[in-house]
Amino acid sequence: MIQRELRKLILPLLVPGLLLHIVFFVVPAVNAFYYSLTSWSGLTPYKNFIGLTNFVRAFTDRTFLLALENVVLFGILGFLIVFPTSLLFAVVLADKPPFERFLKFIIFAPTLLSVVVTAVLWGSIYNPVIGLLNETLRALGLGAYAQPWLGRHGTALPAITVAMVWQGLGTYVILFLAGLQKIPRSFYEAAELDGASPWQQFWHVTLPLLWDVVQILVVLWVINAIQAFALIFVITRGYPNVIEVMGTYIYWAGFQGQSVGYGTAMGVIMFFVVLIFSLLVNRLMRRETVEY
Amino acid sequence: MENRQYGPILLKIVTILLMGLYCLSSLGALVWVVYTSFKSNTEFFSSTWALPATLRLSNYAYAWENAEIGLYFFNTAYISTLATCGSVMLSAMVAYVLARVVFPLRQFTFFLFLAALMVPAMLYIFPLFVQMRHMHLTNNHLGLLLLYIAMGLPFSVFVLTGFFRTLPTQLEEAALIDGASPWKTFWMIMLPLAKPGLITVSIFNFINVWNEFFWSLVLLRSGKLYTMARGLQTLFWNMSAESRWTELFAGLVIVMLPLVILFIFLQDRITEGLTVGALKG
Repeated sequence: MIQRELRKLILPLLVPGLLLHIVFFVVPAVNAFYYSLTSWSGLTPYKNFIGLTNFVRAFTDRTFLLALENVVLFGILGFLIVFPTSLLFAVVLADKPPFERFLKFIIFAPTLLSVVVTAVLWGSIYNPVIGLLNETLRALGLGAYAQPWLGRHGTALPAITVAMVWQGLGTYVILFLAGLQKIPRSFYEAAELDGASPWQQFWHVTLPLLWDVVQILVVLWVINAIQAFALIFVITRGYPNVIEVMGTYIYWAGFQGQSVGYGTAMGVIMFFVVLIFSLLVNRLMRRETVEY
Repeated sequence: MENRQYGPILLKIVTILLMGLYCLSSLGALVWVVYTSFKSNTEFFSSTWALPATLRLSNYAYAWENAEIGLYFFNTAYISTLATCGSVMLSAMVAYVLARVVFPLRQFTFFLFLAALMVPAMLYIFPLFVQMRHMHLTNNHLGLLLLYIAMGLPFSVFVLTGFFRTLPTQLEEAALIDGASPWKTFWMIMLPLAKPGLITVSIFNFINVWNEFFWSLVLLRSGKLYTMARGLQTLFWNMSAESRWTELFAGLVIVMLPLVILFIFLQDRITEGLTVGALKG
């Protein structure tokens, strides 16, 4: 009886939102698979069906492969920095240190800022002429190391990774913090009674119980790295030649290179990379989760 | 109550030092941006470090007026407000139906929304752009607004559906048995109960729209229509080419300020919202 009444709500409540979602997400997402099979430039009225040619092209395209490699490097390098840093910061913050609110503010605030703000800030820090980094190096007598940080692949990669970490760190600290606060106090008491040293408690109690968080963190970080666009696009002023990533290459292909079909095909590849990666992490890490 | 021991002392001391260093340099960079925004370019080029001789506001005047950050501020403010209201309202409606009404394809509908959280935007940017061009929704605020409302739905639907499921069903059953229409029950009883969820989702959406860059880059051509993120990017590209850094920094401060203030006042709520947001995956 109640369900029959409630069903009257489907039309007025569900339909407006669902319709908007279908128009702005479902239709274009489905269309993307069709686009990816055409050689459409974006200019002509017709779309020429060419099968899987775009996908073959992508995997023989040096720039695309480089972009793919850069994305993987961002993912790995960033993770190596973000994982230990956020875990340790969370451990300290969980003990409610002095200036807790202030520390949290400094660590969390960057997550709220627009990527453009991060790009402009770090772009200014890395600037070869007036940049804060080079000036600091010179002031410390390390002027020999001053260089155009974004000018070369070898330095641009870690430099941009640091900017990404700066912006993302807060999210991961929050996640670890939430995870830590869920661990029952009695676990540590029991470990202490059994004579476990603080190190052992850290390795055998804290870390295993945070496994869920680590799993989320891996997926979140790598997926974000794969999709990186705005930070790199803005910080390199639209010329990400030394540090091309999938996002910037796809954008270029469709909006400047008149290869909408090819650009979309690369988008489809990105979709599958993200999908496969998430499934893989889920499979590999799931069974080691500790239930408590 | 004694402190919990999450980690060994030595590790903690090293971390505290590291964290101090991190926070100091992070703060240092921000302080540098703020005081540089009061310098003249001549002062800035003679010394990157030195404090400004006078507290000149001309850079702010330039950024606000000539670089039109002032205009972008109002564009961003009204688009973010409308888009947040629109998304939260529509998603609360959708979420209520998905949480409470049993109908065929319910799971599938929920999945359709959820899918958008997992699919990279790069997959569909071109089809979406072409479609919006056909609908005459490029280079105007209406297109941006509709898109932002739609983009806010998946996350909000996900969170609010979970929220509605936690609410007791007795209340609405009682209301319906007493003869209230389901429509009235939703608006007068269920929606007010969902307030905490609505607030979390609103904050999250507002910040996202306020910061959104990609679609304002793709959809907007006329400078008058820019949002702050887009305006700051243009300012950065132009000013760093012209070596007019101090004006750029004034613009940067103006763009950062609203969210920093928001964060100071709503730190706990926002952190909570971010936790929910980060866990969406």
